[in-house]
Amino acid sequence: MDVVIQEAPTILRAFITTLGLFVFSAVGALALGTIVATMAVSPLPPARWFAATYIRLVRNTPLTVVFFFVVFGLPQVQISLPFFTFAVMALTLYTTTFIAEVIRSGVGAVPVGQIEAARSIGMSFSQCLRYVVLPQAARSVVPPMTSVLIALFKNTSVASAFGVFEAMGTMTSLVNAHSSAVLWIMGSIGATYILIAWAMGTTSNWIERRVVVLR
Amino acid sequence: MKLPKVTLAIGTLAASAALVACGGGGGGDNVEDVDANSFPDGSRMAALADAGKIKVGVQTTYPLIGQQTLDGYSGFDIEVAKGIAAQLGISEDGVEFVPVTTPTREAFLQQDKVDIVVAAYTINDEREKVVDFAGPYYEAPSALMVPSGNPDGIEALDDMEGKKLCVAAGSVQEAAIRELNPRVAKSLVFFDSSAKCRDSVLNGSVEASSTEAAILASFVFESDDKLEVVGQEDPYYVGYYGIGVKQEDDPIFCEWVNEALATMQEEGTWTEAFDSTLGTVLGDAPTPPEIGTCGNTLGS
Repeated sequence: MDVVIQEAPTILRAFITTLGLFVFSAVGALALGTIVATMAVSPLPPARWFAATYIRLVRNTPLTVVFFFVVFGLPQVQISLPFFTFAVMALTLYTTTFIAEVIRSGVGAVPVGQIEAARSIGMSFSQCLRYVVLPQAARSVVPPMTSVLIALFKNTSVASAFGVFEAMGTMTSLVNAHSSAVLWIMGSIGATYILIAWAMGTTSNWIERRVVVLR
Repeated sequence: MKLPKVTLAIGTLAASAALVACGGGGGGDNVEDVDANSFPDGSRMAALADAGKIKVGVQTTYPLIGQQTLDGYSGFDIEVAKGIAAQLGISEDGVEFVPVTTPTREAFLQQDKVDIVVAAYTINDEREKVVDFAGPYYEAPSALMVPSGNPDGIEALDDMEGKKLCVAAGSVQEAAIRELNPRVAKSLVFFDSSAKCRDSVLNGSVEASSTEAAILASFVFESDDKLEVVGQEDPYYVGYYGIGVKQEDDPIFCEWVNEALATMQEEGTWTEAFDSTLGTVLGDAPTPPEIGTCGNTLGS
């Protein structure tokens, strides 16, 4: 226990890196995910094919393999970036597919009459999507979206094996330095993950109550 | 008089030990028959010899030391473990290798998930609080590895200030660098294996990587001379590998492992183990380190 108190600043810094990975990847994946979902439901066949292929390829690839392609593949073609950036890229590419699918399912939940009504008053596809479909879709997918984001938060731990010294890497390092307090260190890092993920779930419940669409 | 009962027990043990010795073959090795009764009653040696099986915690990503490939486990640690098992009359087939990692080594020993840990396990005071070490059985200096031609002119650890140096997270090198040169420690890059550090040196993501000199030598050997080792002559850190055993009230097992190691050194099995693994890139076998006392292995 003393070790945990003594190393608290290190653990805190580690979780700031973890949260950094999470925030950048979440913003990236939400933006890209919305675009990919839009492509998936668009009337243009090439856009639909692209979205379907991307989702099929990346969603079915283990995250570690995605990391390998980004961290060891890109330098092969002379793209050299900081490891933090590589990790955000890998996490974003991976999580985008899940977010796109969640949004697509939300779009499916919008009654078709709404879309027909929007189109019949002269809205274009993009107007219809922007003002009618996506706002309703987003409101209906808060719980599954939270699950995807919590999964992303925990998936940031994979970055520890690819050059980013975040919470998981710090744990391995601390465990090595303090062999007599292994369970304390693991326990406190695990508890911090739970605490943050729990806060995310609670926030999501609150948002859900505020924005839910009653049908 | 308890004599008849004891005699019976001894008979049973001897019979089962003999059975194990007969059934264990097949590995092609000649393990001498060891009588479980030659060990003190109730000792771990007696139990292991009787069972004809031993569980050994090993590394999986240390080339030439402890590595898991499609062909199974190989390396110096593996050969040392087999040499110790042989002195319990346990054949190669009876040795079960269990992969261990930095966070699991101590717990696996304490929970009897493994009987011994032979896993590039560097002896230090912190670890001696929770496990006992037999040995040391190998002296492992650390060095640095750079692309061949040494474009950044790196000769020693201090040359790495402000440059990216890759080490395995939780390795002894990480701990040593944090203590020796905090400025270098600031620009450390962490992967979960030294092989990934090697790949990062090869693709230019980092300037250098560091781990045990022997591992680096094997990477250079495999790399078609795309890499080279520096800082070997004056290593910034020298670790001593010990064999981890469970801390028990009576260190009898740990002491026995020390005797087994001494026997390996005398009989030349230690040198054989070195020659067939580390020796393939490091050349002639060095003099093995002096074996210490259980509980205070390095005499610190």
